[in-house]
Amino acid sequence: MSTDPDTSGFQDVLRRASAGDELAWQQVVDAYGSRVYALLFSRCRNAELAEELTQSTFCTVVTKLSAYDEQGKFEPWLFRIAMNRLRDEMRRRGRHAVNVANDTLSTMETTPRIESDPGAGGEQQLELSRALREAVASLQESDQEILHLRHVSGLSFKQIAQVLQQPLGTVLARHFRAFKRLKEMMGVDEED
Amino acid sequence: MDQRPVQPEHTLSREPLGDDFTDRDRQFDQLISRTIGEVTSPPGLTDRVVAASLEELRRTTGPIPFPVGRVRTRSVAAQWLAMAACLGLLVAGGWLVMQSTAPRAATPTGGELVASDPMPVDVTPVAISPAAELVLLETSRPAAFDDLSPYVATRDLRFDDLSGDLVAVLDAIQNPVMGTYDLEFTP
Repeated sequence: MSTDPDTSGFQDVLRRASAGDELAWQQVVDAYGSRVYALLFSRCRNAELAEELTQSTFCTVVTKLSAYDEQGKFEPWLFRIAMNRLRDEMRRRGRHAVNVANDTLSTMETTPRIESDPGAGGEQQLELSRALREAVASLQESDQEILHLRHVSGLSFKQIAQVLQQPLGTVLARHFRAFKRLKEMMGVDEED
Repeated sequence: MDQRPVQPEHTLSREPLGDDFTDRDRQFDQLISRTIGEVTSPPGLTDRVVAASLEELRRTTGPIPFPVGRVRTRSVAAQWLAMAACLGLLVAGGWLVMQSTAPRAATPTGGELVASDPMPVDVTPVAISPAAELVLLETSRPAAFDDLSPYVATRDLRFDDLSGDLVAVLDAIQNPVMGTYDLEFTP
């Protein structure tokens, strides 16, 4: 059974789920539950809250599934609901989605450069990952959203534009800006 | 559950970067994916999500439940008792109605009837003893006062009470299309 939302097979799964087929609904959750959780966890860094919001997202989806009729736009619709759930919760709690460490930018001073050698030491890789996470966390909220939707949820730029309800050109420009900023912070181009 | 799809969370196929990016950029992009894109879900996550959402699914897609009335089970004795109480109330009510509507027999005091026609009222104050007032009250007939009600109502009528109706009649005469009073006026 395909889980590609653009295929007729998955459309059939959605149709059966909206008609009350519990097995079909389970297929939908199996296909997207982890991705929704990963996105929410990346944004809030709280496992318990991420799972709670994941459940809330799918509860919302299942109640509105019968009204869903946009062929091939299930993923943007699903992740937009998840993002809205997160925003509502963060607004209720009165804080931003991601806790940005105060010393993030200061740690950038000691960030190891990206080495071309893939066989670098494990400790160095861990340090690199930590630095990259902090660099992402230091970006603007809107730029982080794009990176998380791309790298965590696996959405295309077109789908990201649909999730954020912004023009595709805006999303591409913001991604380019965030990517460039990350490269600067990680010293990617300095070796060239 | 053999139909459940198998999609490991690390097999996401991300859209490749465009031609504006270099190979080094693509390597860096892959590094970002490996670093922030790998999030391990807690075990049993999907099962819990399914369990939480299945109730909503059933409620959304299930048939609308009809409210089923409660089956009342009462003993036969209670039913007979309730029926007897109803009959008793019915008999008592009928007796009260008959008592209130039946013409009274001649009063023992033989007092005079109150005239139904309007009579000039003697406004001269008459001293009546409390005992005599009680006798008058007992011998008076409420029906006689009812006969005076048209005069009371007439006395309260004012021009404003009738002017609206008069205007409506005039409108109906001048404009039969209105049909206010269903009048057919032919000049």
